[in-house]
Amino acid sequence: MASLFVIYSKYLIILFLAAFLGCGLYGLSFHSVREQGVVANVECVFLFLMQFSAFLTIVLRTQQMRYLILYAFLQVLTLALPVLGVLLYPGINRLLLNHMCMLLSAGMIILTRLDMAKAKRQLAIAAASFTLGLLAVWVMKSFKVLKKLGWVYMAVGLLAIGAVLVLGQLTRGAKLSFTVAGITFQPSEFVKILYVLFLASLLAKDTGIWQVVLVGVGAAAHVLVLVFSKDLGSALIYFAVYMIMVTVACHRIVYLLLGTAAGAGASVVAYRLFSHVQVRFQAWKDPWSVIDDQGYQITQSLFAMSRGGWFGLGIGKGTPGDIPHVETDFVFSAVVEELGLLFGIGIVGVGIVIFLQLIQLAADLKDGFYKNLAVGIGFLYIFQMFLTVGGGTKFIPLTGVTLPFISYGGSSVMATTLLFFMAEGIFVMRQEEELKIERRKKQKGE
Amino acid sequence: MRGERNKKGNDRKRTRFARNREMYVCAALFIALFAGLFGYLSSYVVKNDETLFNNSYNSRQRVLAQENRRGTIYAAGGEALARSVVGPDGEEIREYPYAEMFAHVVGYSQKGRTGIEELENYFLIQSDIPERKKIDNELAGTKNPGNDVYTTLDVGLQQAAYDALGAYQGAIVVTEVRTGRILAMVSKPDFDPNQIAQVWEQVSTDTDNAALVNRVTQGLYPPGSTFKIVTTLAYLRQFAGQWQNYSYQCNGSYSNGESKINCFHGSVHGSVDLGQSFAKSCNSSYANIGMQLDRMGFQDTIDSLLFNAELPIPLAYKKTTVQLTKDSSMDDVIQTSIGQGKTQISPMQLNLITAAIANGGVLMQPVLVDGIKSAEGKLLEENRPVQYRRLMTEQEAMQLGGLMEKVVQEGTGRGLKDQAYTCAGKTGSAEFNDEKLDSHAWFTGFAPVQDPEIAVTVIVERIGSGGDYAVPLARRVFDAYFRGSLAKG
Repeated sequence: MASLFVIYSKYLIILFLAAFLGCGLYGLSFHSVREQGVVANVECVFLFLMQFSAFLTIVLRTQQMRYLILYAFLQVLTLALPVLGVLLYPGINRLLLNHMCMLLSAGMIILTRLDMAKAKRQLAIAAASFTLGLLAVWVMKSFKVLKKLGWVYMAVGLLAIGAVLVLGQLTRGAKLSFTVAGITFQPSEFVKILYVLFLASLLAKDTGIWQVVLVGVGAAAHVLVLVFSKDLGSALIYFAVYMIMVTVACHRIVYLLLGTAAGAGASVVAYRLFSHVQVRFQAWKDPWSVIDDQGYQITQSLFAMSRGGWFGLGIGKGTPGDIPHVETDFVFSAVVEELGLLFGIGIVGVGIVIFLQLIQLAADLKDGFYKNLAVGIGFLYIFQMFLTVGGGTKFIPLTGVTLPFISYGGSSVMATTLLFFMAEGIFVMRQEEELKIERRKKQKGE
Repeated sequence: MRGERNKKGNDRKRTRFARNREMYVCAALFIALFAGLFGYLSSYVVKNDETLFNNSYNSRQRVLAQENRRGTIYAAGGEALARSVVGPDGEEIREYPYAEMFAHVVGYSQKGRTGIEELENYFLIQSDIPERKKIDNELAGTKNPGNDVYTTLDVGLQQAAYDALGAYQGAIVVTEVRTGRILAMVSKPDFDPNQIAQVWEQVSTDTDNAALVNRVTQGLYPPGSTFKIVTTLAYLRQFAGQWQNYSYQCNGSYSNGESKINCFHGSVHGSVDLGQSFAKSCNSSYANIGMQLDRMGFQDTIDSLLFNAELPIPLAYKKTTVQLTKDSSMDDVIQTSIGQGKTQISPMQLNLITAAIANGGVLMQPVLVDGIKSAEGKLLEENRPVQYRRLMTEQEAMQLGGLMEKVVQEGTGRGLKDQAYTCAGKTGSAEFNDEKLDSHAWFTGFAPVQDPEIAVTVIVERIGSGGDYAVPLARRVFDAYFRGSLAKG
């Protein structure tokens, strides 16, 4: 019986994810948070079923009970989050919470299998992040002054990544992090929050050409610092977010075209100037000719995915450890190898649903700042996801950014959590606004 | 009133869209990017499954080797050509019951992989028994039996070819012309795949013998007079309707300006027509024919016979090249016409051309494997005969076949005359060294003439003329085949 479960659990896991994703897509049709209750509950059931089957498979296969403790913590965390969230903020978007939990769970399943110690750390950081996130919702709705801090965000953000450039430690050739009191931070992840706030705030004030240029100088300063830190993935993300936020805020599609052209030009210059860009490009164009060298990682990633095929080899049955730094840069390939390409596409699908939720939210908003913020968070997230998944699968050159929630990386998990909870704050405010309007209508009617 | 409200609603919808148009455009762009990514992933991962699997950098094989026992490779008659057994120390050993006889074609799977061991590695290493049984095996701690490969190779014919070649260096290949099935493939010198790990150091460094090289597919030799098949085809094509009138007075050599060539061993053939030139393999006459050919047309014919191209064979092979241009020197043209000079060919390619002639001009896709089955007999893959390509018209094939028959009846292939079966072919004596009068002996041909069944190609290295040394070997192979088929029939 147990052995049968181990064989077929991989199909069950895909099935539960598919059902979950179906609920998520259906949930997009609800305009108001109040109508989501039932779908959100059903989603939770599928989330728990998936977690349960995955961890049961791990325990059955390894015969080790210590995984159960991890599972219990994850289960409690993903159950506590929606309960606490709704208690504290009735207007919170439960579907968004569920989707975050699903991404985190998928990451935990693969991380548990790759490296137990890292899985534990990730879970602890996630718990802390969720707590901070719930706090962030309160901050968002209580401090309207957040709207007005434009240049302050920029100054603090630039200072932080500038400090890393000067003081930071090298991680695989890039200056990404520094360590304080035994904890390693990757500030460029957190500065993303400030950066989105900076753009949202200033573009809400004015969208004239001078403002765009002025803000552009600030954005370019970020991008340049990141380029000099050799953190090209983040530089690219910062650049794209500026471009898209300006396009949307100014209602001018021409900015997108100009920006894309400028980006392409900058890429060519970067290619000429930096040898590590050339190496990355070469490893993308033909990794097979440099398989011992720069092409090793990406080819191992391709092997891993081909081993997995549609349904995966099953948790614990593959060899994703062959890929260097699999838990950060190539976690998607590990997911595909053991849980299957269908599962991998499903998880990216959940990410896309989150993106669409944020787009829907932004479309409804009238207030420029919050609207810009929702747009910024949405595109920041989807672009980062595209860079990691596309880069790890040789669809585009590898840039080395994490897959939020799924990759191992405390800073990434925390920063993304905070961004999503800022969006939750906007949901909550909108909900309260709607309630107010209704109440007023009712009073008028009486 | 109600219509009013609807209109208002529509307006609101429209303005909502208009307000967010740029955002929707950007969002749609990303959705399209992801759609492309998903499409790419699905096709890449599934399409390259086997290629990526066989890459030595992929650890999948090592993992599977621990779970599964490598499958068996069978001959067409059911004899095991390679199988995995458990040695006295409990370790898995790959056993090759026929030792050297199938060394090149079956190959080995240690120290790299070659032959069918490489070709079908993907299937051999995997096990397609039901999942339930795999779990049972896992619990019992035994390995799953890998999938079995059923080859087209005929042990009797391989034995005959192997014995015929004896102590000589060279190669013999036999194919079934109507199906493309490869029945025998022998290359010498050889090695014992059972001992590959022990003899590796020696055989892999001995470049003089190059025992690891499968000469059938990887050996490149000057084709010598066998290339006259190609030259003749070019002539038939360019002088359709007139070639019957061809005539040449051979006095043992041909010269044109500074170029001069001799007939083999200085023979003088006298007045010859095309058939006699071909049958007696008159170099002087063929030099004359070559000079009459339009060079580009000649090159087209060469290209149509798989020169300068990928061969449709499943094993590792060497590509052949023959290049003629408008500016080729006279000497180059003459040398090419008689298969000397820079021209090179592998025995396999010559065999494919011969098989196409025997099969009315159509080359069948050559296959080494009839099918693959799981250890429980479930058919996983089957190779049915398929046409590869038409190399020449039926008429051209018939004309060439007729000329080749004449070689056996009255020319250099007389060693095959008056057998229990009828035979057609072409000999060659390829000089590979200008100083010494040393030559490789070639024969390529098919039988029976009326209803061809097999094509046999023989090369014996550094021995003498094809008629003297290759033809008798081919005869032993034909004998074995027809004796066998008579016994079966």
